[in-house]
Amino acid sequence: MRKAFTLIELVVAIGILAMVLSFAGVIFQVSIDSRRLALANAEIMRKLRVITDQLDADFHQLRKDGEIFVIWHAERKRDFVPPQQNHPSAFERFDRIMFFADGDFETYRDSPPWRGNTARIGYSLAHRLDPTTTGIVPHVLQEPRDRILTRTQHILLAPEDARDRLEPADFNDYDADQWRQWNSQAEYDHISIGGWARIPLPVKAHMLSVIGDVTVGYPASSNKNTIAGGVRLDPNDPGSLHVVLCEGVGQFKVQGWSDGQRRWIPQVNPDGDPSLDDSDFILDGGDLHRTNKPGVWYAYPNGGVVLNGIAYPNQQVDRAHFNEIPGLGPALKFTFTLYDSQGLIKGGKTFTHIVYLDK
Amino acid sequence: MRTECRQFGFSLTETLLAVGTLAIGLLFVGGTFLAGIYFTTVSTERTIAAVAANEAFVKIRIFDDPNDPNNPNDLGDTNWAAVTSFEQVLYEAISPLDPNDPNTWKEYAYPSDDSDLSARQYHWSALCRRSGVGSNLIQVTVFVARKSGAALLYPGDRTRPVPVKVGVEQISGRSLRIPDPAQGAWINEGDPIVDDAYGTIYRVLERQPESSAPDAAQVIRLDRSWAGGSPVVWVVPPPLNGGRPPTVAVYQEILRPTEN
Repeated sequence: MRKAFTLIELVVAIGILAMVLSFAGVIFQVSIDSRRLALANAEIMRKLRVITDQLDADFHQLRKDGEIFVIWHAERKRDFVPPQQNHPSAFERFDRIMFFADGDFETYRDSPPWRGNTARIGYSLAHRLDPTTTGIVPHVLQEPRDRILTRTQHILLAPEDARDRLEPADFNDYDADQWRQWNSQAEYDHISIGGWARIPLPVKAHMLSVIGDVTVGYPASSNKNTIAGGVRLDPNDPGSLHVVLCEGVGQFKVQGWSDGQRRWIPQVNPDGDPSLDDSDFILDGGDLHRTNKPGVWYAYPNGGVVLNGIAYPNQQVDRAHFNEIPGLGPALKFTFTLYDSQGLIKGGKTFTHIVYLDK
Repeated sequence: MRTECRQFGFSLTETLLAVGTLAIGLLFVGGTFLAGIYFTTVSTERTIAAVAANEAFVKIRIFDDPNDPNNPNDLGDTNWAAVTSFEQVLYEAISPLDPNDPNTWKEYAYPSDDSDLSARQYHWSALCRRSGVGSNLIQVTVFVARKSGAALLYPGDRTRPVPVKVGVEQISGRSLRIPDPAQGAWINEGDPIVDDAYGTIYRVLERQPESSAPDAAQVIRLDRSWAGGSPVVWVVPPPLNGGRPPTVAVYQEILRPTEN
């Protein structure tokens, strides 16, 4: 007698095995997908901690005797859904902020590094050099998940410590490359906070134009932003990468608490209705103005606030009235949308983080 | 001579046992994935809770701006005078910002931004207690809770998860009895609860009915001995329409508010 499986036994066993394996396959597929999603979430959480920790460290020792410069920049998202084109969620922000802070700072590229206890710090989304066309891709034209949040840090050094000649006194003679190098790559300024305040206004206008990536009409006119504005990143240049704080940051919004307005300002559409008539942003007809951007320059006695519908006297842009300055105030709220590197979380995740300034 | 050729194969029983063992093994392997995902989710929520709580503490400070009589739009003061040292007061009852006002409710949500409405699923609320009689220090306990569906409702017809009072009786060192059957399901395993008198935070290890009667009181066991000075604890109850306990984390700080 030959002992072996019968055909029925084989069919039954194979059928059961197939069922078990298919169930196991489904479980594994779901598990692996969920694991990927969990890893993407964990990556976003790491990015969140990086940004919030850095913001806390920088603003914890904010120098209110130094200048603060904020430019608010809103653009309509490319994937907004009409007729919701004026809904707050249809906009994304590309704000930038510059301020002075104390801390233990050191340069990245120098060996040995230069060290200092006060620095001029800037946060903004970066324009990026396209390696294929060698052209600059502005942040607003990049895919949200490809955008990069940068943090520039210029340590304030005494002139005798200087090893090159990037100093504000020479700025009138700067060409576009030097402006770009100063804003995006240099890691120190040969100047003190007091010296910064005394920079002649025409030169200061050029500097603010480059830092804020905006055409400046006050305290003097400058459109240096058109040739060198904003932080520019070249992925192939290691010398520019020290400013990278976090990749995959879709938007960066800076708002200050206003006790009088009972809200964070500025907002594109505070009441959320179909009209932008209550916007804090400069309007051109019924839409946001393409080039005129609101901002605040905290610099006594020349500072000022530009907001639609909110008037504030320039002479009160000082330390005594800090908590009342629109867009600054007792606390700053930062909003950023973070994306994972694999693109698994469509639309990213939006977070807010508040730093308290009224210490 | 004839030799008998015997062929040995697996029987159906052996095959089924082998397949069954394999299936159970695979399920265990799959289970480890799920456990990992669960803990990653918990970690994610706690990271968000820490940021949300930080935001809550800052907001409690900035909403406390001194009242400016010359500014008709001034936010007004937080009513710190209503906070005593012997019981907790819900922050929203003394805050100048109303969580039920359509213009200000989002200040109690996280993220408190209007650019991504779908993301706003965490809410914070706080309890306040004066550190001592006459003290100008306020102990603030912030609850960060999730609301996983827009239609969810909470006890007291609330639309957001907010801590409520629950009466308790101590029956042994770590065990408390919840005499009111209606409140029995408000405290669940893993929930943090806050003592009304001192603000001490406890974690609930388990909850069981006292007897098999349908309306039996519930008994909870805590992670440490009860030292509360009041027969009342605070907890964020689960939604009335069902769902898991909403509390993600509880944080506590001592603030020195501006008192007019």
